[in-house]
Amino acid sequence: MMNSTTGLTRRKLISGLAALALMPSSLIAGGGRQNQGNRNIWLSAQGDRPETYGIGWYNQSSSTGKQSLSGFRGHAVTLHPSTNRVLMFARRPGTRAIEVDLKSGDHRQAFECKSNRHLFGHGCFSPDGKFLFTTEAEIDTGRGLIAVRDANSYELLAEMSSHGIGPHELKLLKDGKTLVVANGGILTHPDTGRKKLNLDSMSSNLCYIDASSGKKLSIHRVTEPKASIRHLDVADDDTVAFAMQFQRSAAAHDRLVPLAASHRLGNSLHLFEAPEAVTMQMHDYIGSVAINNSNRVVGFTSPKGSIALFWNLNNGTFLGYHRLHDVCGIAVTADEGYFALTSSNGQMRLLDSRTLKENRALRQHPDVRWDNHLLLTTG
Amino acid sequence: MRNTSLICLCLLILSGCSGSRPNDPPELTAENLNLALEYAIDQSVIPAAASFASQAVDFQTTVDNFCRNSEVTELSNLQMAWNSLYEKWFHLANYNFGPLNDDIVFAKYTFIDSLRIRGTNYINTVRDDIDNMINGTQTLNEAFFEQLTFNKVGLLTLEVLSFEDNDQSRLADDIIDDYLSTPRKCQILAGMAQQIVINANYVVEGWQVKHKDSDESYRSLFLDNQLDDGSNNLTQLLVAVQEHLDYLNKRNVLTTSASLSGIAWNGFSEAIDEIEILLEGNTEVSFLGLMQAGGFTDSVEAVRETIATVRTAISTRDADLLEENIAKLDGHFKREIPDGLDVELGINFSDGD
Repeated sequence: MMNSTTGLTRRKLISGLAALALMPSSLIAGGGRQNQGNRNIWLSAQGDRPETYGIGWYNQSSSTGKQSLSGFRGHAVTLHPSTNRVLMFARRPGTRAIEVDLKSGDHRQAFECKSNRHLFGHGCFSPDGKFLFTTEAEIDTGRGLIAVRDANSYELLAEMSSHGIGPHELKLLKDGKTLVVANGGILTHPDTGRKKLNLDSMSSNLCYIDASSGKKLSIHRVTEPKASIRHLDVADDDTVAFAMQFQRSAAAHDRLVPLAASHRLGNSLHLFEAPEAVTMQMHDYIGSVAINNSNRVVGFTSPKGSIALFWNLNNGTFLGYHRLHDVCGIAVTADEGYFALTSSNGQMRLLDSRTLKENRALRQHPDVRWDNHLLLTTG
Repeated sequence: MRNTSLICLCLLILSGCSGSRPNDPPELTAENLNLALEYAIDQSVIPAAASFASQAVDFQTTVDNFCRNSEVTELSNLQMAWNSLYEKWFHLANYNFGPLNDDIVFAKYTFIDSLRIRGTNYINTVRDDIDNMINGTQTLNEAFFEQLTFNKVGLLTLEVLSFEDNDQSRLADDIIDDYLSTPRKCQILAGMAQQIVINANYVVEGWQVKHKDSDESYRSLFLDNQLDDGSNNLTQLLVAVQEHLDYLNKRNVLTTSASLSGIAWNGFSEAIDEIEILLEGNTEVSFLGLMQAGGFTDSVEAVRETIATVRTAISTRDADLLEENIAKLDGHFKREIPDGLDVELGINFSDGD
């Protein structure tokens, strides 16, 4: 149930969210699909130590980059749908988010979680640009939450249950009012850092939630109990591609586990299979996912395996892979012509979304440390 | 003349004031690091590949001899040649990148050592497959062996063929009788031996002549730091060794590998020899030497001490001590050595992110 924490009433929130459905999908943020041509600006959390942590953006055509330091390690970034504002969320168990104006380069702290809360590194704006949703945890209970904030003032408006523990990535379906959340199922506590506290009983799920009421619409689990659903992307037809991380140390078997899957409301889950050697190469870890709508191809990245992998979203056919050291960032260019990949040592690569072959002429290698997630926009 | 002497004297004085002299130990500089890397490739990695390939050819020769004259001495030679091949493999297995691992699905290393993939012991698969081949009617030519999957070829298959008969007897007479009574078995042995030669040669050729669809050797690509997967060359090398150490422990190689020949300890011994030479080098510039020059004396001592303890564990056949110190050495390759050489292994992408 939604828990109003400010003066905003549920009715106001509902009416605001109802208007989201009217927004044209081309304005909906995510995966860089509102971009044009190859004037891509690559955005990501960056840095490899506290002094260099921040949000960075790199202009592909001019080969120039900028960075705003944050003092904390960020995770994902998201673009406001109608302004130049970009948010970077702190990596778990951080509590802050910073905002950068891409035009002016100005940056400021956007918000800090209320007490007894921490972030999981992800958030998304409503398509009308009025609301911001973030995945959070209630620290003393471990309960997963979705916080709703005013997208301009970042005032906390409400909280709702994520219907699971450890909510990670979340996105809105194309109706603009249904949230889909990856509840990783793993309990952690800031006092014990990133230690997993409930591996024996962990329970991950993919949950659809009415963004206006917080009501659980549908919840889904994979058969493997130690597979933690972490990341997702939503296709134009609302097919959700999601990525998992397998907790092998807690598993009762030594089998390889599929880590990539899809789901569409009303249908059953579809696990993506790959040759054994390819599945093994992922080292039980996928870090990011992006869908190319025009070709119905979904890409996943495994930095632990230094590999990006691709499947046909319609039928789950494995299409191929691309090896790139410590690759994690993946996004789709505005014209949907390419998958864009970034690695921790600064590599930027573009793979033709039809052939999955790299266009080597477009390679760039700035001296930056790209972190988990990549967002593309245009200048 | 006097002027010339004066100039020489000045030059001598000046050279005495400069930062380095010929007898100074090499400093930790990018240039010296590249030099150490070049030495490592030319004096450790490529020789390990070449030595394995050479031993594969020697093994093939002993197969020919055994098949021509299937008697006890030739069987013994065959088994000793397999032991040497296994030992040489433990040198090369430290460097599981480049031509040895340039295709995820059909990586050459998997066709040499199927255990390396996930620690799965395919010995029963191998035994069944040998039975099927002996009793089958297929033509046992190169094309047939070439299409076999990774878990039916390589060191394990050659070990089974060399160390036991079809009823799993390890008595020399039984093994020889098997070969004498089933001529197809020698064709199988020869075909399998040829495959390992082909795979070993592919690795050497990739390192020295031409790598995959590039026009260059992997050596050139590596030393130019132009690796296709975007990894840094030194990072690649260190991570490869670290992953081998991780594998040795995680997959219980000591108890799973070489179960018929009983020489798994030798494998560990050879692996540690290789790692020590890689780090210490045998020229003026070495990785540990550069770490020392960079002030990481404690780290260097820790690495040396761990290597010495691994040796003690091997010589005393102390499996617990071995496991503990292989893990410690694995840790050195994750922390002390990269830190000492100022190498970045990458961002820590952890579970939960």
